[in-house]
Amino acid sequence: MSDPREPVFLERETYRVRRLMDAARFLPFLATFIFLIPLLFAPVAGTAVTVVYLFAGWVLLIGVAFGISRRLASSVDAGPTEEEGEG
Amino acid sequence: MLSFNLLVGVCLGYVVFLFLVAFAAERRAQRGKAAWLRSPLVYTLSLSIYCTGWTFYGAVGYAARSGLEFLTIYLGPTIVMIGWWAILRKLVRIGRTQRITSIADLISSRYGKSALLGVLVTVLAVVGTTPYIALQLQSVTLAFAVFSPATADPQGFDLNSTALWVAVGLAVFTVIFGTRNLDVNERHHGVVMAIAVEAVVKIVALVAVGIFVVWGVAGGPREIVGVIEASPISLWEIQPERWVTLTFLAGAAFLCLPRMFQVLVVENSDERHLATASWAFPLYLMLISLFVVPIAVVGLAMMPTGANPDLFVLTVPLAFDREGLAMLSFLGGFSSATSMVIVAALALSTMVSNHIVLPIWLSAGQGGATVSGDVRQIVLMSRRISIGVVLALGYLYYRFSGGGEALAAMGLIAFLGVAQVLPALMGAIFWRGATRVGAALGLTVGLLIWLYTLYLPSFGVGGVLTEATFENGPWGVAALRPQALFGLEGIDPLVHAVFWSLALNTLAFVIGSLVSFPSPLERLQGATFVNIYRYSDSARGWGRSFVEAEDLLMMAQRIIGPQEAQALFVAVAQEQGKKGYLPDVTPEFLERLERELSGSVGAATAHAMLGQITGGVTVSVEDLMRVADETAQMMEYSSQLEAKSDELGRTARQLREANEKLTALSIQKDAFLSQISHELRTPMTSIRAFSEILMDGDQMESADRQKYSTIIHDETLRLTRLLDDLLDLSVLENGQVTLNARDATLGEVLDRALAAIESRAEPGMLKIVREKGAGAIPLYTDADRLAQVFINVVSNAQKYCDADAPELTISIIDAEETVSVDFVDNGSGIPKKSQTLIFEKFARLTDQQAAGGAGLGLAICREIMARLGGDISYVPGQRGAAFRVTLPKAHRAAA
Repeated sequence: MSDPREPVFLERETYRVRRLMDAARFLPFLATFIFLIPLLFAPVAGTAVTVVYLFAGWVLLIGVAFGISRRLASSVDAGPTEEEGEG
Repeated sequence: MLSFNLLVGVCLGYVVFLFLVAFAAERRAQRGKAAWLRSPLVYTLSLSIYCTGWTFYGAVGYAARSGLEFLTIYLGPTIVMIGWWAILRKLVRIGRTQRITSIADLISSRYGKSALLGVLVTVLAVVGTTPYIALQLQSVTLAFAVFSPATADPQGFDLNSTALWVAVGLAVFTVIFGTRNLDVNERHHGVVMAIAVEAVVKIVALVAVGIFVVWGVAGGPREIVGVIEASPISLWEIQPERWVTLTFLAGAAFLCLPRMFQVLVVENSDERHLATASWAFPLYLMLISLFVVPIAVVGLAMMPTGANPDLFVLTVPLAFDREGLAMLSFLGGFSSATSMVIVAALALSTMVSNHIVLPIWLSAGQGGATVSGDVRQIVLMSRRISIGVVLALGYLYYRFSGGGEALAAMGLIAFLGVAQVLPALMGAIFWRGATRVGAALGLTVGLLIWLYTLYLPSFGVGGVLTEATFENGPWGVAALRPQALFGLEGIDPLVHAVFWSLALNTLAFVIGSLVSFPSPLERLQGATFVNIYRYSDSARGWGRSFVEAEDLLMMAQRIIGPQEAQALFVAVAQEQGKKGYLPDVTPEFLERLERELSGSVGAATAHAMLGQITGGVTVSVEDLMRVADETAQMMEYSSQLEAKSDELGRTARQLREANEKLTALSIQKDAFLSQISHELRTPMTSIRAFSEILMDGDQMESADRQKYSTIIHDETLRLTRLLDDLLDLSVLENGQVTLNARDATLGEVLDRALAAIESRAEPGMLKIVREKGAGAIPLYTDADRLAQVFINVVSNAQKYCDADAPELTISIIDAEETVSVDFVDNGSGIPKKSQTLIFEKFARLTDQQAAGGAGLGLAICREIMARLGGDISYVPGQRGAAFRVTLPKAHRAAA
């Protein structure tokens, strides 16, 4: 669906933002993966280990999401924020 | 023991505090100081209504019963929230640009502002949310019961009346702050602020209880791990199908729950808040669930068997006589329950009034939108009544379900109910081909299967469905057993219901969309929603109509209020360059007006009302084509621009070339002029000199006079020849020459030329070898001119051939279309660098005055040959100088 008139190659800054968007799209898949892993080891490792693992994974994801969204927020800023201040 | 009256007092105080917070927030917002009310933090906190009383009390109970499975309820939303960039951002953008008021509004608006879909989603939401509200009432009531002096007087505390009072209180709060005004953006500052405060209270309460349990009771994190290992929870075994299903279900519900949609999309004031919430809300969820397991294991270990694990959050602190902590915990639970009910009632009432009450009112009242009277009052009243009805339904559900034991089960049933919207929602924002028929089919199928496989069975065997139906299926059809549909037996009932309802829902949605054909409005909306980032301005849904702006103003005043409506009309009129209140009724204006109205009454109703006034001149296929045409025209225009700029480039290049040529020509002309003057001056000089001698020399001898006058005569001849040549060349170059074409043969012409040469040349100087044959080739040409060329070439050989015994070979090459005559001498030829120059004017390779020519001969030859349709060229590599004269043969047809 991309515009055929978009340039094929982008300058470095735009390129980084694009990859950041890719990372943001990929993150839920990583989250799913992390949260499904206990299916493999929980029956063996026991409840306490599973709890610790899940919370550790959770914190990790929050950290990554924090890093990505902090930088992406500026590019959302660049997007149209129409009807701001009308309400 | 904490006194019950004190508890009620604190509770009432807390409610008053919330009222004040909401009131202050409204006041600030009215004064335009809403900035800090709308910070990312408040937005994130308002999302926490996901964590209801079910979370606050139920999660611990859930953990006590089913181990870590409770975590899936928070992992699903975490995944959705972390993936905000893909789904939520788009939803928020659509919600903001299209003035979406609820999830039913979104679905209805996307699928052609369909009233039917609005009703369907509203019904689904009401059915799905009612048990949830009942759940909240139950949790608050149970919490009250914990503190009630039950031991003293078993009948002294009436659970039902508590639930009733709570329901009434919540209804009042919601009515006051949720329906104060019909906001064009459907945003409620007071409510959002209040639930943000409640979000803080509940997390503080739960974390406080958790810290008390871990450090106060168990003695530290290390010990708590030991307690976990020793508790019955450690016997929990992960059930993969439930783990996956519940995670998915929670994520889906997070997107589809009406109250979540309200805070996520409708109350969102800035897309950037999502970026913050993407990590902050998962953090909130993580903190909320962090201490659930410790509280559960400690509760299981400390509390007497039979104690309700749903209430461990309250009973554990009470058991240790931490009454302050218990009070905080109670307020946390109270907050969770009330905030959820307030937002849910708000969202549902908006849906009910916009999609059920208003359409009925519109169609019932004759002339509906055109009659006078303030529609706003009707909208607000219908919302207030809807809030009352929703809470009454929740209360009734609570009464008649008898307050089911496990809170969590009810929550999951509600989740699956609202999750039926998921396929239509995802299709709405990602698939242009999704249609109204498909969405309606999918929703209906999903709703029915959910009711049949999960909702009705939840009332228990013999509740709504008889035991026989459970065992053998309705009418004895085993394939239709509610918990073993199509023979899928032996799996968890919830997983079973999720699987069948969502699978068949999606299937019906996709097939229905594939085989049906959308209306023009649907296609327009589909394109707008799916490509929301590209066209943030919505495509026009209105054609030209002949409605009076005054009628529109009347209607708008009644819906969004006189001041707002007049401000809007004045603004549009100004944009159109008009003065006053009444702009021209353009499709753009209708579209904008409809969007403003839909912010108050929903897309379908706004569309229907405008449709009534404008006589239903809505978008037609022609309008669609026009929109498409405009796009095509834009593309056409830009490609035209591109072609034009290409053409400009070409022209510039041509101009540059022409300029270079002109400059070169100018230089050539200057050179030509100086050459000419030089050539004229030389003979003139000698003529003048000798004629002066003759004038002065009276006693000159006759031999000398003879000699000098001969020189003068010769020079005059040379001048004449030069002028003749120049004239000839000029005539030829200007194309003014008239060719005297006639039939001739090549041999004839050659003979004449050679005869002319021999007549004036000294015999024996140049030996001409003429190859025999091919002389009879017919030509249709100017024989005199051709002979002139031949003479010129041969005489050149005479003049310039530097061999001791000069010899010229003339050979004829007869080709298909042309005939060539080669003149090759045996001299040293012409150096390569000069070969291109010899045909230029005044080009003489050596300055040989003796040669007696002005260097125009070959230039003239070239011009003549060009006129005759042939060519003269120098052929390199032939021992000596070689010239080839090429001629077209006589064409009978051409002649």
